[in-house]
Amino acid sequence: MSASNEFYVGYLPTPARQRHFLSVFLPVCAFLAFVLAALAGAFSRPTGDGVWETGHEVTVEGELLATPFPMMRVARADGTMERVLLVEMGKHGADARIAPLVPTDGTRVAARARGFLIARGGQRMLELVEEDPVTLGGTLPARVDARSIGTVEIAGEIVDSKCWLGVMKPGDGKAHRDCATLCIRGGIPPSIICEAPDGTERRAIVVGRDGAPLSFDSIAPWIAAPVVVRGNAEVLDGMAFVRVEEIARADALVRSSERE
Amino acid sequence: MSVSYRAVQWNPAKKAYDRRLAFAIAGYLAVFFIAAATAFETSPLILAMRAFGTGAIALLVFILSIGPLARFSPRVAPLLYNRRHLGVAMFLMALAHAVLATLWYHGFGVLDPVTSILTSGSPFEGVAQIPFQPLGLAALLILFAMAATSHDFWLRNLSPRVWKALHLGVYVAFTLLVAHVALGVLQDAVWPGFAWILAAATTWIVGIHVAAGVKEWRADRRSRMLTADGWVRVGEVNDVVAETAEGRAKAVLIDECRKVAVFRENDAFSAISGVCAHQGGPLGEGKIVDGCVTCPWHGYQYLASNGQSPPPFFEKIPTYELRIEGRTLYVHPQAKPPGTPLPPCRMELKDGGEA
Ligand code: FES
Repeated sequence: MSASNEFYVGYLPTPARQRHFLSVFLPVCAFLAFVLAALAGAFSRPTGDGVWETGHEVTVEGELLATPFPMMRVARADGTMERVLLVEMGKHGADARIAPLVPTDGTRVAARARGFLIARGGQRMLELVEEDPVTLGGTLPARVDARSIGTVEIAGEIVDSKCWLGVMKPGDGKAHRDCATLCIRGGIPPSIICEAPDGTERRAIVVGRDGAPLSFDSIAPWIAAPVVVRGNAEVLDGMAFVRVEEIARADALVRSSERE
Repeated sequence: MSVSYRAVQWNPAKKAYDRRLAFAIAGYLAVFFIAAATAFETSPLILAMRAFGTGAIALLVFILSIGPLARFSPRVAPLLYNRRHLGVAMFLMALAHAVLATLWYHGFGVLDPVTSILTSGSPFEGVAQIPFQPLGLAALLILFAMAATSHDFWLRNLSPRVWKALHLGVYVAFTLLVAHVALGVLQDAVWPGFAWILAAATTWIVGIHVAAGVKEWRADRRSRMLTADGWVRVGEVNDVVAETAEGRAKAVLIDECRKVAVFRENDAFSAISGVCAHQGGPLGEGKIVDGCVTCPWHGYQYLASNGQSPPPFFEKIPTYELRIEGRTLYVHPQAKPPGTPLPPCRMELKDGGEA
């Protein structure tokens, strides 16, 4: 029955035939494991080129806005305007901190904000430091440069801006869905991301039809799934917004995306 | 064996085994990191999460392969000896993956991480919504229960039967993990190779288990022949001698699920239970070493004449009565209580000593 009468007992020396077999078998297994590691490493999903300069505090200066999400309007060196989103540490928006600082009657507020930059593709966000991040005062920049795009239909994915801009790497996809859901629930602005025909990444902040933030419940089922968003788009100081009329599952639907 | 419980009873084989294991794991993680870092801009935390996750699954596939492979070739047997160290190492990698993923994806938010995991998505709204994290969490809990009870202390206190059942949970865990990967990271994978690798690994595991099962079932069917008066035929004495080397056994199925190991030592046969008291290892595949039947899995030993472990050990397994009638060897399927001494059944050396 047994061709060989060699027999392995753990606490006795290994018989020669088994030793020889294992001296080939185990290195082969290790080699296969290393090949697998190389493939799994090299072909795993790239993490995006966002940056999160945590530990390197900066100050931005400009006009403080509380709606639809806390942000600063900042004048660039070349005179154009940019908008820098403001968020708290962790998965929390800065609403509670910023809203009381900005009057609702339209009075403009100049301020300085301290925090850590998060940036991707020319879009910047500031993660506020915990202690007194905002001081009021300073010079107000020029008026809003608004451009209306009209009705658009965007096929893409809804993500939370903070992770996608550089905190999570990657900050999109199904593996990241629960994180994006937590962030949006916590007040981080939701964005829709898509790839433009030229292959570049595009992003627009998603707001309700009236320009105010969507309720968490109305957006939750659409997070990190392939969706088509239809609505009115506008570009304010270079930052794109979509006032959502309708969101639908993209499924097999492929449509061209036309937007800023 | 079980004189006293120490954290782990080390011996040179276990140490060599663990050294190789540590080398393989460290190598895997290092190669993964280097390959990823050369391929794209990296985020160390995400890479660690991925390296631990993929490494744990690769190791699990290896662990699940050892048992069936050992059924086909005894040369794989040394890997069985210390398999539980592989299991514990695999659990620790899975745990590292889970801790990183939980902190990173579910921490720092307005919900506590466990609520976030358990309330994620709904299985009724398309693949993108089917939650995969709870599957991973369930698998991790099973692997934890197994790693925590892997020591022989638990084996004894839970009884080998309960312990074995608990440790079959690894197949549930494997199934959950395949679903966890397929519904999770594969949904985002840019390289289709990952889906193929997962499919190949799953097919391999199912395939070798089915093949090993079929092999065992065939062998059992062949070995099973009842005679009229209730004795089970082991075989013609000459055939049994030809089939078994000195100090080896023929395994005989005596009813639907019990196996007896009939050992040959010189001109005598003895029959003991075919199931090791430790973790149910196949004693029919054991060998008499230094006068004791030795289990092929972890080397527990029994005297063939009474089913008792030699002092100072105290395991006992059932013995079975043997009888030679004419030229045929029979075993009685009624088990004697564990540890019952029975005289060996001697063959008469008539035909020129050839049995
Ligand atoms: S099963 Fe462990 S020694 Fe027999």
